[in-house]
Amino acid sequence: MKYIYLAIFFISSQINLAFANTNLSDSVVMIRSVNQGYNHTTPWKQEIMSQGVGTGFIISGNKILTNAHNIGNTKYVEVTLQRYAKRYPAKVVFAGHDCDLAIVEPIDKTFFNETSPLEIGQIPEINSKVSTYGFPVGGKLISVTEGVVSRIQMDTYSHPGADSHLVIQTDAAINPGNSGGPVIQNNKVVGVAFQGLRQADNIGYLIPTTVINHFLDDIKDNTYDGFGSLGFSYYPGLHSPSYKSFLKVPNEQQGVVVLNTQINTPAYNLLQPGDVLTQFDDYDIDNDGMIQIYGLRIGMSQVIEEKQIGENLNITFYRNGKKHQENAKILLNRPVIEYSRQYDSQPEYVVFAGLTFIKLSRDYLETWGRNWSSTMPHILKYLFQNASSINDESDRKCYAVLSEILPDQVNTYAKPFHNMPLESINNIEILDLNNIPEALEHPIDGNHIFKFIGHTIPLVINAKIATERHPIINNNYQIKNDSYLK
Amino acid sequence: MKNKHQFHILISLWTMLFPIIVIANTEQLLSDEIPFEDSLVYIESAVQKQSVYQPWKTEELKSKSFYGCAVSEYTILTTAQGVVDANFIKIKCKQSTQFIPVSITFIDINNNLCLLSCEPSSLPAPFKPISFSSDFNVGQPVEFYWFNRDAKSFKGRAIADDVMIKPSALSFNNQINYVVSNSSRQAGKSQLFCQKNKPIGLATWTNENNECGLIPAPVINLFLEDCLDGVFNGSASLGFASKSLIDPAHRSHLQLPKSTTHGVYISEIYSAGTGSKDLKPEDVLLEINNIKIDAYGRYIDSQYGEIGFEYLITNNPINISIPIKVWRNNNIIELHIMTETLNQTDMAIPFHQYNQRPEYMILGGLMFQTLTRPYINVWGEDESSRVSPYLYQYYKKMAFNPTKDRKEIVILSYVIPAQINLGYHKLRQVVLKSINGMSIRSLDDLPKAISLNKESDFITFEFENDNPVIVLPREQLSQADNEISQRYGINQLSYFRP
Repeated sequence: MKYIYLAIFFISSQINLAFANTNLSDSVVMIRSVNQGYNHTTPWKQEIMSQGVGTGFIISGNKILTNAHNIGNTKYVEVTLQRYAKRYPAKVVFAGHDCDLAIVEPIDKTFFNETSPLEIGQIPEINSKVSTYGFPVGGKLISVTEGVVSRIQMDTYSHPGADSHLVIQTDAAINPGNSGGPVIQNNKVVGVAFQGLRQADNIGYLIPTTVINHFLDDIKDNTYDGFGSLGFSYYPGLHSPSYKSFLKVPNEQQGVVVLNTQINTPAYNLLQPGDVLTQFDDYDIDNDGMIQIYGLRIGMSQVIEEKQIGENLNITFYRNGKKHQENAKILLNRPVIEYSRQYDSQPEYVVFAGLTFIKLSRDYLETWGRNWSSTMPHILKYLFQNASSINDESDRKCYAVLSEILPDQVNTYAKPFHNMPLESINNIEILDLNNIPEALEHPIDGNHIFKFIGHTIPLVINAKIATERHPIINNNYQIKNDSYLK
Repeated sequence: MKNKHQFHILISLWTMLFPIIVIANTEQLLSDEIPFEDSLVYIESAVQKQSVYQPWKTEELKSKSFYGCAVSEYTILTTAQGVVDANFIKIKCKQSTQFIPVSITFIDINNNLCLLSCEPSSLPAPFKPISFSSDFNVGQPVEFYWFNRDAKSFKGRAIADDVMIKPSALSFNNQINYVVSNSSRQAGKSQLFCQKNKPIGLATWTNENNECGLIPAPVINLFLEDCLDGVFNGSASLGFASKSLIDPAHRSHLQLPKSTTHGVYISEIYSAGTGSKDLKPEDVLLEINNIKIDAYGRYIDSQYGEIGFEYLITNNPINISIPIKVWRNNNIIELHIMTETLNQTDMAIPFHQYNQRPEYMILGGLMFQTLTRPYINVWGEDESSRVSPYLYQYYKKMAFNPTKDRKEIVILSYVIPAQINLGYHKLRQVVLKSINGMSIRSLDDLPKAISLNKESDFITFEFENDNPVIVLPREQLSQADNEISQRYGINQLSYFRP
C-alpha cells in the first residue's frame, strides 16, 4: 500500500538560502492559511482549527494558482512574495478539490505590481530535468530543487482520496510546504508539486498541465464544475482469446469489456455489461484499457479527463458482434456514497430526538482513524465497497447512517443501532436525508419505527415523547438547527 | 454472601503469599490422594488437517495433548476439541505403561464431547468407570485431576464461581458452562473436575483471568444417555435467534400488555433446529415449560439460579415436545415445539468442517469451493476485516438460511494461472452464479452444469456483483487440466463428499 503525504507544512522559523532563478522566484507566492473543517459525526460542530503554509504562483489574469489542499476548509488566507515583508489577506476564488487545484486572489491587487505571470507549458518528456520552486519546511525563502521526470501515469490524488488523474513522478525533492509550487522546465510551468511517497526516498508527484488546463478552462465561466465521467466499470478481459471470441469481437480488435453501468449516469442507458469498448473519440483502446496520447501509454479515462462537463464523447463499441458508435455526454455523476473527501461546505444532517443522521461518506468513515478501512463496522464496509453494484434504486441519493446518539431518556435503548445504516422509518424507505423529516410525520400507532440495514430488530421511539424531548435535547446539546439539508 | 467474599479473599492471599508452597504441596500430596486415579487417562492425538485454501494439500502435522476419564470399562470421555481432525489417537493410563491406540466411538461437535474406546485386550485391567453428578454449588471449592504423559497423577484446586450460557468451543451451539476461578494449576484441557469428590464436568476453556469453563454433568449425561443404544442422535439445538426486549417503546409497539414484563424477541428463524418450524420473526417468547423468560432472555433455574433460556431447550434429547407460550399478533399463543438438532448440513455456510475434507473443483485453473466459516477464517480470527465484505455479508445473512435455490454458496476462490485462463488471473473470492446458463445451488451442480451446451465451443461461468464472465475453450480443457495438475503438483482436481 502506498502512503502518500501532502506537501503542506506547519509554520517553521528557520531561514533557508535560495538559489533560484530571480525572475521565476518573483512569481512564487507563500500562502498561509487557517483551516477548520466540520465534525463528520455531529456536523453542526466544527473541528479544531489548524494553520499551514504552502506555495502558489502567479498566472495570467492576476491569479495565484495553488493546491486545493493548501486552502481546504479555510477560514483565513494570506499571501506573501519573497521580496517583501508585507502580507496580503487573500480569498479563495475557486477550489477544485477533486484535482487539488485552487485559485487564490489577494484582496489588494497592488500585490501584483512588479510581478509577471508564469506561462503554462506542456507535459515534460520522461527523463527530462525539472526544477521545483516552493517554500518547503526548513526556511522562509524560496527553495529550488532539481530532479528528473521518471514516470507519467494515472494515480490517486490523496487530497480527495479517491479521484484519479494524470500525475508526473519526479525525483526532485518535494517536501511539506512545496505544495502548490510551480515545477519549471524551460521557464514554463510543467506541473504543480502536490504530494510525495512516504516509504520511498525522493519520490514526488506533480499535477501535469493537462489537469491544470482543464481546471483553468473549467473556471472560465466563473463556476468550477469538476471532472466528469460516464459511469461505468470495465474489465481488461480480452487477453483471453476465448472471451474475445465469445463476445464476437474480431480477432485483431483490442478493447475492454463493460462490467457495470451505474444508475443515473450517461452510460446507464447507452452501454450494457458485455459491450466491448474499442475507441474513445479517435483513440484506440488496447486490451489493458490504455490509449496512446502525448507520446505516452495512459489509461483510457484520460480522454474523458480532457473534456469539460457537458461535452460529448464518441464511443465505439462492439455488442453481439456488431460495431456501434454513440455519443455520450460527460457528466459529474456523483455516487450514492461519496468516496472523495469533501471540503468547504457543512455536511448535511438531520437530528431528531437526539438521533443524528448523516450521509454515509468517506469523511464519516475516516472518523474510525488511520485504519478506518479495516476497523469500521462490517455493514458499512460492505456498502462502501459494493454500493455501486448493489444499489438498484434510481431515487437513492445516499445511505443515511445513525452517526451519533445524544443520550436522553427517549433514546436510551438506541445504542445497538449506533453507526448503522438506515433502511426505513415508519416503513418509508430512506433514500435521502430529505426523506427523514417526511417519514417522521407518519408514526405508526404512536411510535416511530426505525429499521436498519443488517439489523433484525427495529428501534422504536415513542413519537409523543420524542416530540416533547426533541427541543429539550437540542437545547441541552446546543444544537441550533434540527437539520442542514442542501 | 459475606462469608463467600471472605473465603475468596483468603484463597487469594494464600495463592499470592505462598504460591511455591501450594504447588510443592499439591505435587507431593497427589499420589495417595487422587480419588479417580484408575479412571484418568492422558490422550495424545496426531492431527494433519486438509488445507482449506489448497484442499488437495495437507497442513503441517501437529500433536495435541489433553486428558479424559473413563465412563465404562473400555470407554473414555473427553472433549471433542482434542480429537477433531485427528489421524491417530493414543492414550496412557495407570493400568499400563504402554501407549494404547484408541478410536472415536461417538463425537458430538455441537456439545464438544467425545467417546473414545480401546480394545479390551490392550488393557491389563479395565478402567474404573465414573459417573457425573449434577450437584454444583457456587462458592464451594472444586478439585480437578489429570494423568500426564509421564504416568503421574495431578490435582488442582479452584472455586466454583458461576453458571453461564456460552457458545460451545467448536460450534454455534449455546451451551451451559460451569465456571470455576482461582485455579491452583492451569486447567482447560479436558481435566476432570469434582466437587465434594463427585465428578461434575470436564474443562473446556480457560482465560487470562484464571477462570476455567466446564462442560457440566447435565450435558455430559445427556450425551452418554444418547450413546447408550449405540446410535448417536445429538441433542436439541436452537432453531432461532433472539434479542433482549427491554425497550418499553418496542414492547408497546408489539402491543404487549404493560402487566407483561417478561418475554424475549425472536429476531431470526433458522432453516432447522428447535422452534424453526413453529416460531416466526417478531414473536415474543414468553414461557418455556411454564417457566417465564425475562426480557433479557433469562430465567430462574431451580438449581443454577438466573441463566439463559437456551438451557431449557438444549438440555433435551431430540424429538421431545416442549410447550412454549409466545406473543404473536396481540395474542398469547401456546405451541409445542419438537426438539431437533441443527447440523452443518442444515447451514448454507457451515460453521465448521471437522473431520471432513473441504470440497472443491478445479477446472481450467479455476478453483471453486464452497463458502464456509473455516474458509473465512483462513484470513485470521478477525475475519470480517480481512475477507471480502461481499462474502462476509453472505455469512452474516445466509449462514443459517439455505434455500431451495441456494443450498451452498459456491465461490471462485482464485485462479491458478495458466494459458487457458489468461486474462482472469487476478479474479478471486467471487460468488458463482451460473455455468452455461444453469444456476448453481451447490458445488454438486458443477459437473452437470459443465456438461451442458456441449455443442458450444465454450464453457461460460457467470458471477455475482458485476464480475466478468469467464469463458474457457471446451476442447482445450482436458489438456489444460492435465498440465495444471502436473505443473502445480495437484494430485486431485476435485473432491466431492460421498
